[in-house]
Amino acid sequence: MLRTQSYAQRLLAIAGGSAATLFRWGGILLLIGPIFLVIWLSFGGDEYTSVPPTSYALRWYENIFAQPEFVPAFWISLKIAAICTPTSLVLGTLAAFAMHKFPVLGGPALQAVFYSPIMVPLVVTGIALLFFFNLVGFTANFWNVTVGHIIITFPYVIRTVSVALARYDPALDEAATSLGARPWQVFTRITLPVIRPGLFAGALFAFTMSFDDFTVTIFLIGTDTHTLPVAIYQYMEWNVDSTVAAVSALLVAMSVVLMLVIERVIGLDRFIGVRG
Amino acid sequence: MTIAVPDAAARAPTIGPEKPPPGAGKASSGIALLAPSALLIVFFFAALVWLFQHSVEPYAPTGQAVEPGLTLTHYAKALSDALYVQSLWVTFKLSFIATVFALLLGYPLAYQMVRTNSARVRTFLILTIAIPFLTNLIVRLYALTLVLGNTGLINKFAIWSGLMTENEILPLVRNDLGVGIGLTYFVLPFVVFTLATALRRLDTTLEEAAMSLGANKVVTFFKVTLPLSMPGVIGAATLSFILSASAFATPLILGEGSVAMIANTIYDQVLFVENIPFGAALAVIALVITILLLYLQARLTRKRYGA
Repeated sequence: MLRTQSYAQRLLAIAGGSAATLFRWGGILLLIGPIFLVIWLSFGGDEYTSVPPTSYALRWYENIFAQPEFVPAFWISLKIAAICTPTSLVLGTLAAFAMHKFPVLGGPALQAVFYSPIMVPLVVTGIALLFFFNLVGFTANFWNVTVGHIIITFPYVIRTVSVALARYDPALDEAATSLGARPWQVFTRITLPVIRPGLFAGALFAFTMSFDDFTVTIFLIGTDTHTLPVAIYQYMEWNVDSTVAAVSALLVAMSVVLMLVIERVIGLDRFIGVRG
Repeated sequence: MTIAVPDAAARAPTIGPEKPPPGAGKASSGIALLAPSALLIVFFFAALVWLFQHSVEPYAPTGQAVEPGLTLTHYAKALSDALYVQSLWVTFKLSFIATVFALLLGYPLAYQMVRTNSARVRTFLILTIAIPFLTNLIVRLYALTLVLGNTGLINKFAIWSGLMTENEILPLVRNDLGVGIGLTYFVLPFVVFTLATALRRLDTTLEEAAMSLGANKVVTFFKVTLPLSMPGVIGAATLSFILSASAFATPLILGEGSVAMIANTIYDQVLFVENIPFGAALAVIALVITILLLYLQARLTRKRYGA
């Protein structure tokens, strides 16, 4: 039958294939084109960002450290992410474990409740938390932002850990228990090592979401706690030089490092979901 | 990973008392595990309830006492005043367009990522998704303004190649078009993620059957692959629409104040206009729309595909 394909059918196949290729390359270009451009322009030497640069220099990298906002903002972002990540990881893992072990607690209704911070638009979360922190008299902006970040990140940990637990073989527990391991020993010596990829993915989600969050943060910050995304945004509002391009290039370098870590620990393809 | 098992078994006492099988534990200890995150969830819900409370209280300028009583005037204003109806409409329109384009660009990408036989091609595609996914959104949006801006790559290229004269400008930012491109750019990695997961689960034997019966690649794709991956497409579309519709940074940076989507309007009402009840009402509307969309997706997926 293959040979009896009509001319029109073959034409259609070629058109479909070319359209797919065109769209695919369009997507690839859109995804990484701007990132390559920003790295290139960060090395420009012009007073104002110019495409293409008329000269090359490292002046904008030097300017990052000469400006008062970027370095402190980086440390604040890192501090918040460093508190948020382990907290979300512990809370999310315990919750996922409870839902897995006690099916009563893992029903769809309760799951929806615990996943709700993922579903609620971040801008709604931001404004709701702003009002509520005012109501209960929490005025420490740093901690308000941190609590906000924990709320929006720990459901992702529940999700990644639940996925890992769903594949977990209960026979391992039975074997350990029959050999006399206490529940706590079973959990720390067997369950945790086996679900490690889920823990790692959850921690990574928590870290990047906290470090990169703009929408919730902008509602909760005061004048003294500018995180890095906020500092970048404010600088680019008032300046047209390439300092932000240099900051961007450094942050892209950071994501590349993060990516190498993911590749080593669980494999990028698994992290993205291309491989089980 | 399994090394831990003999290790733990070796250290555990060999003779132990009979334990109930795992899973038969008391629910009370499960509740104890759940308690810390439940506390946060309670806090979160209390904040949402308080937001709702704000949305039904009368407006009072900053500094003045709020009159007692409940009112729905803010909701009426949000759904009748042309300015806010426009903001909702722009949000819907741009989110829809971004979702369509993200699916068009994302599907072929996800498809090749899952189906390619070349490890090199797969690695390349994974990198093109992973780098933007792990890179700060503000940074990505700034990079996009360098492409689309009035003195950006596309405008400069158009002038350099002679398609435009020096004093012409192709306006790709500060308008709906720019924000639409920005939203597509913002949601594309999420769409590819979701589609790749769905395509990976798909059984390829049905495609092989169709091909062996004489269907060409295009027919096989539209009659077999696409229908089978529909739950993934619906999931990706819902995620894309919800992310776009609640986007804040994208319209802020690519619209530069000229395009106000719903999230930007909420922000302005709360922090600049200081009309807190009205901002709260807009936020509740955004929340209700989101919940409706998620409900619709769940129903659609369950009804059609029994998932």
